[in-house]
Amino acid sequence: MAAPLSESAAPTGRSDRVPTDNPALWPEDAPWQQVSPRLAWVRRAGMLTFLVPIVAAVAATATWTDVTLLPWGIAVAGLGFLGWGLAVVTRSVQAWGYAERADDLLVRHGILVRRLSVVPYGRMQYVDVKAGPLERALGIATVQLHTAAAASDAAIPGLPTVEAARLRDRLAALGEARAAGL
Amino acid sequence: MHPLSPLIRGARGIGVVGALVSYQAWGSAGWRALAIAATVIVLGWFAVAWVAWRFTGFRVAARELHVRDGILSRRQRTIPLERVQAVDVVRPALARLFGLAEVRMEVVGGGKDAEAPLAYLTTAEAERLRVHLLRLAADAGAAASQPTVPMGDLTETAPAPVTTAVGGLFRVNHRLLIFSQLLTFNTLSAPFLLVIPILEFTSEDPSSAAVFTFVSGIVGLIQVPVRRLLGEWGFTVGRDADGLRVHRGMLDVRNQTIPIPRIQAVRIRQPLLWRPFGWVRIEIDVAGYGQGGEQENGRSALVPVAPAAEAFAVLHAVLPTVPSAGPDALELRPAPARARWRAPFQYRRLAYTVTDTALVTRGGWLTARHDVALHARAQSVRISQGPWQRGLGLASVHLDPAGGHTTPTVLHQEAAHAARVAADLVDRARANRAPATAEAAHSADPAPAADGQSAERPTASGSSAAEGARGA
Repeated sequence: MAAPLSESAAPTGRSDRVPTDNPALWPEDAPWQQVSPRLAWVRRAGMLTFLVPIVAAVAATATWTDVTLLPWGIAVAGLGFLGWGLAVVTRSVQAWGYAERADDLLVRHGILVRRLSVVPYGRMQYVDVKAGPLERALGIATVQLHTAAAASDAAIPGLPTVEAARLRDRLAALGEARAAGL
Repeated sequence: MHPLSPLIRGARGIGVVGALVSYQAWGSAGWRALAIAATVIVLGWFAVAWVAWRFTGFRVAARELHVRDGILSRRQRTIPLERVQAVDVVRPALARLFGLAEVRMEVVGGGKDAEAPLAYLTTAEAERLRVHLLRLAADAGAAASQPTVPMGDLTETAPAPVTTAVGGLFRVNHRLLIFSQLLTFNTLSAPFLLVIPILEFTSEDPSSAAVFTFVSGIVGLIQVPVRRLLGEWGFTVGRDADGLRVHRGMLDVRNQTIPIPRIQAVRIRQPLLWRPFGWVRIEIDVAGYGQGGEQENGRSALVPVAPAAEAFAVLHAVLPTVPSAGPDALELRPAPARARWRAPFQYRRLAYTVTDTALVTRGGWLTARHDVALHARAQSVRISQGPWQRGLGLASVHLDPAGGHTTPTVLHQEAAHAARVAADLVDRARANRAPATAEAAHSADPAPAADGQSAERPTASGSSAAEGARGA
């Protein structure tokens, strides 16, 4: 049963003090698992295919036409963005985590904006496993959960294929066993 | 389906076709050619509608509704009745002339196509079907959660009497409805926009394109209040054994039946201009509404507009967890003062509380808003923390009800507190939906649910149904 949240009902004083420590947003004792570091390569490839052509085109424009300053500025900004993306990609992949608890699945991700989803097994409508060509080459896949609420559709990318299949089957079995009406 | 259905369905398109034909052919063809073309098109239209009608049919078998339609590509749909969220009887203006009605079922999931409009039946037939479907849906829901209970042959369940006692809860005040819609931003801004096309029109060189742009813009603006006015004219809410009964509409009359356990969330809204008068609008979220595009944003009004005391009394009768004095009568926990750096306009109003059955949140700046989500309906709980929030040591907690039109959010609470709130919401959601399954698993002898109606769909209802019963 739910432990009553003692201070939730009682209004407390409006403290203006910003705490110096940053408390954990999610349960630390859950059996957290990380996703495959190979996901970083998918992310890097995505960034490169998106930004490199743009930077190249802009640089070409600047080289062979009279306009110079603005295109070069854009190119430098693009490269800077790319460099920043490449720098944080490892940490961003490490930030992904999921935990199978007794009654629900936890999924967390994000560095800049941190998010945690708690999806009860009984609420899952169906589970998708998706893998693009590059993901298949790297042997990883994305598990997508669907509930009746669009906002709670959580996804776990970068799962090794075997783990993705195991998770899908387990979630489907648990969802069947605990299905709750709407 | 009623034999007049093709006539009405056909008539729907004739106006459009007629306008199109006359516009295209004006001047280029003679009257005779025009009349012949129009006749051919109209007859063709009716013929197609008639053939389509011949191929359309439905039947209720066991716990499913079978619908078949289509001419070239035949389609047969099977709708499990435990997924039916609400049943509406709609009477469009034209069908009303012939005493016909359409039965619409709101089915969860599956998008627009899953909605099954049965058009047209006689009003009495539609009403009988509505009652029958709701009874079956309630039974099917109960049976799905307790498979051990012998259910008997559902097809032989006698339809309940058509006239069920409707306990009146609320009737909209028409003067209030008109004034409240006049006092919306859309209506008030329209006259200002109207000045421009008038100036343009009276100028020496009027540009018809500019006039047209502005006029269509104004039409778009006042569309919302006008639709509300027409759609919520004569709005009454009552309750009977099946749930909430909503009757509304000026031209198209709609009779909605919403089982109370199907209510996912509640929104309470108070626009800036309504506040001096103390008017409130309350909407309820029902999963499935809004996929057909006819319901506004997936919600259905519970109280289109009413003085706060009256509106909250209605809400209290439906959801006793909200006190009749309004959600502010609960002890809400405000967001910490440092939230003002993140939400400078609304931080004073940010607050929330968790009751035994629901999460109640408050926020908004120009439009004051309250959201209520039921633990028993929660699909998932989320925490989010942006960079600003992290700098301030804040975080937000979201509770997602099915349908996802309203996501009540506990905004900008202390991070550690937000984490505890989320854990608490998860626990309460589990506790609120657990009892029925636990009962079914543990009780040795099956519950006395044979007569269906009294079984009260255990999983779907949880504590809200119990509350609903008390509220009645």
